[in-house]
Amino acid sequence: MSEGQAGQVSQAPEGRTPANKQASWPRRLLRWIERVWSNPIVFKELRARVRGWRAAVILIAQLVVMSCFASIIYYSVSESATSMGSVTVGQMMGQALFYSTYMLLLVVVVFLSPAFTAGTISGERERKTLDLLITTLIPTRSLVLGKLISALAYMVLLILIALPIQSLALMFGGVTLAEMLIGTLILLVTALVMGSVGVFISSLMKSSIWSTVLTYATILLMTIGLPIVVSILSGVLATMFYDHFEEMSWVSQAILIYTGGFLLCTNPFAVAVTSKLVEDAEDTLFFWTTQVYSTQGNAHSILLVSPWVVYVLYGIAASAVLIACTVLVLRRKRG
Amino acid sequence: MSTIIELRNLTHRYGSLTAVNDISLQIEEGSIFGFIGPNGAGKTTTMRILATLLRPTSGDARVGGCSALKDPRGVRQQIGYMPDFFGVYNEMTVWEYLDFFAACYHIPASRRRGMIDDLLQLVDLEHRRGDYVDSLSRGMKQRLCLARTLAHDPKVLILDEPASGLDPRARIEIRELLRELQAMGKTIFFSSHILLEVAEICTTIGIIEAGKLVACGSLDEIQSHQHARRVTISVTGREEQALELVRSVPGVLDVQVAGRGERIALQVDFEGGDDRQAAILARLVQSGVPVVGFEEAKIELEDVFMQVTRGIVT
Repeated sequence: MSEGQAGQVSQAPEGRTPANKQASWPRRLLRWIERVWSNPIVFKELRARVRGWRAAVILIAQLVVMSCFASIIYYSVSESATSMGSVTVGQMMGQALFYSTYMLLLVVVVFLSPAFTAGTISGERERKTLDLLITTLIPTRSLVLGKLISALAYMVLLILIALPIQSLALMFGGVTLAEMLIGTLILLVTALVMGSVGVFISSLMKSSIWSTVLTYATILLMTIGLPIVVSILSGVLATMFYDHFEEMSWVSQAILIYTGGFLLCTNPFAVAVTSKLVEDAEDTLFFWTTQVYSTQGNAHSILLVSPWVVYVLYGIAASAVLIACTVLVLRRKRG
Repeated sequence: MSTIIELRNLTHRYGSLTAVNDISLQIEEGSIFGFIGPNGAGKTTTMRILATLLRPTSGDARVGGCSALKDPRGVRQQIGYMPDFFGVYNEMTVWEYLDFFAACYHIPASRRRGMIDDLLQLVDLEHRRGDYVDSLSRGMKQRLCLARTLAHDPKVLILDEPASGLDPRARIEIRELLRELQAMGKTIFFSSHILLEVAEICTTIGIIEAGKLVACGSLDEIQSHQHARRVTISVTGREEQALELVRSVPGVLDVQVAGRGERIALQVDFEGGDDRQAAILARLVQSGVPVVGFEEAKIELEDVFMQVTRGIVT
């Protein structure tokens, strides 16, 4: 670069140059979006996905089911509800509408996200197109991220089209905007984690059917199996330690609380429910402190974090690890 | 002319099976190399190693000075690879398919449009530009895949059985296309088990059997390396005497009476050079055999193939 040009920011050819360290955040974000947009895999996958009849049918089915569900809730609540204490019927209606449609949406996200990714790499293998891709110059990371981003883009669409139904709750009251935003964040992170599980497993498998089966088995284990194991285990531990809890040092108590809490925070359903419980009980969306007592009876306060915060961090970390593993698996095959 | 593809003691084993056994060869820039051999001889394995899809057990494959082992990216930049069985994305149109792969080779969007038009023109698919890939016939898909290998203007094309499963017309079209590509300066490494196809367009040939390269060079070179030469002698009579006379010439391996009728044709296989060929004729003429024809028979690639391979399949 000559002296005269030194002040200019060098033009990135097709978003391939490493990010300039001096670049400001908005500029970096813009560059990142440009890079995602110029990722041929994202473009190709999205085009193929939206082109088929399946995409439209799923969107319509999703809207129909959620609308019907919301209507049923509306009528049953309006028939039966009477105001209790400070909670008005309107607020009850808002809460009932929001929580029920939210849980339905969470189930859809948990079980639909892997469907879009579980066959994504094994499918290329089955259709004998993976070899063609591997011999091109596309970086393995772009390949994997492209697959994931295109699947997530569709899930985001599913989550977004459900928002109007959910925001009915805002009109009735009883649900705050912050709750809704946090709820949506949990949905997005769930889609990210479930999608990453699918991409990772599909990179290992030769057949899409087996990849899908294994992905769903993993997800059932994560969302249903793990809570069962944890609740049984915690039940056993509780009966064992119930009388001795007081005798434990405060550090062991804290470790027990953190471990149990973390396990709880890996499950999207538990996270959604407990985040609300914490909000109601502790009146916080982020942090609160609780007291544990040492054997001498001294109080120690420990910091606790709302489950959704832990879940978001855990989800991002878990999916980063899964993506890294997928890239490694494919790189190894790529030589 | 410089060497562009080089295999050095290339060996690949699948468990206890040796698919490629110590193959070394060099291919000149701008040539069409025909890789022939029976099914299961190791053609596809060799080509997959060259295409950086398989790591050899030992040895190295180099394209334009880059090692497929140490610098696979460098190799990928220079090659266009077409596997023997390949899939296409069905939910895409012809131009989208080419656009996608061009983007995978980092060709800027501004250059892709014109390039796709050129490629479609080259493989004669302009009229199917906006059609879905799965509506194409097999021959068209093959041509589309060939166009795809050209997206980044590679120097070398590695084509595994480019004409397999095609009808005669599509086969000829592919052959013409390969000629055209050679004229554009590409080096073409392709495999086939159809000998005629190879003999017609290749400048160099490699014959592989049971993982070993049993013959390599231009068709003429391979033929001249063969021990046996063949002449067809036509006589109008005294064939018994002729047979005996020819048999007595040293170096003659086999004499067969090929045709009967007014003229009797003798097919003589012998070892040695032109002087021996002359000696055979001289002996017949000296003895007064009525020779009316003496013709050097061209040994076809098929004969060479049958001579160098023994029908071993691993």
